[in-house]
Amino acid sequence: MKEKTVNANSVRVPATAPGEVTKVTRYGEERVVLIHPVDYARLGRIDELITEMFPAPAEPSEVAIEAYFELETPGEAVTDADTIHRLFPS
Amino acid sequence: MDLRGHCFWAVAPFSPAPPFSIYVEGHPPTDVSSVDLFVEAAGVGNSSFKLLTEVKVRPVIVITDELEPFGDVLALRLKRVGTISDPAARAQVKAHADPHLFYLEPRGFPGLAQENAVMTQTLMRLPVDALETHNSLGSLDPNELRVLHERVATFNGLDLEGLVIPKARQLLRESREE
Repeated sequence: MKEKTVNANSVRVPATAPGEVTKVTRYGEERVVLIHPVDYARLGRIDELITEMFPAPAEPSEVAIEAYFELETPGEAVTDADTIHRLFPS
Repeated sequence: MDLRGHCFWAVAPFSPAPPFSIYVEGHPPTDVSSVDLFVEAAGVGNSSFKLLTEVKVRPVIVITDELEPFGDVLALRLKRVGTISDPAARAQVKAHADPHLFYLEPRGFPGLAQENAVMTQTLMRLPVDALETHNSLGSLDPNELRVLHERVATFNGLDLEGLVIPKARQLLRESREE
């Protein structure tokens, strides 16, 4: 999450308490959700834990690499007219 | 350069589908409407052909870094928001309320002339050499990329339960220990 800090003198916000969430709505639509800094720090920690738990993708094995290049490299394609017209008669 | 989240111009092929148009040296291409004849041809030792496949030069969003050592990336196609004729549907996309069209905030994509949305159902594998990687048109931030990964997994019905549940248990354990 990108953080933005706003000085308390420039906005009017209600006080928040740990474990409490205040939703600010306009025309019935949620615009802003206020949470206590303690809860924000906890959510940030959970986010970090999730990121740490999913490591970078594993390196493919030598066998997997060989198989990929063997199967993904085009072979000798049949382009000869006689053969193609014999295999795929119209 | 980490390619994840970047938008680049690409030469992106359409997946070949029947009728398959086979290149024939010195002759017009031959159209084959069925897979069966290909299987029969493979049965007698002829399994490689050249198909005439349409490609489109288009911007794509890359959702992985280069997959080493294969030299490929996974990417998704874009839809111009202005071409969505229904104003309500267009508004829904711009409000991030359509799970299949992920709206790209224009401020993150100065190289795109128009507003675009990523089509989460168009996952394709492209060689890095098919992308103009020296000219990024913009990029997603890490949080947007994470949401896009979730949507691609959801759309394609990938069963990630075996991956997620042990991680969730680990997370619970760690949060209890804190």
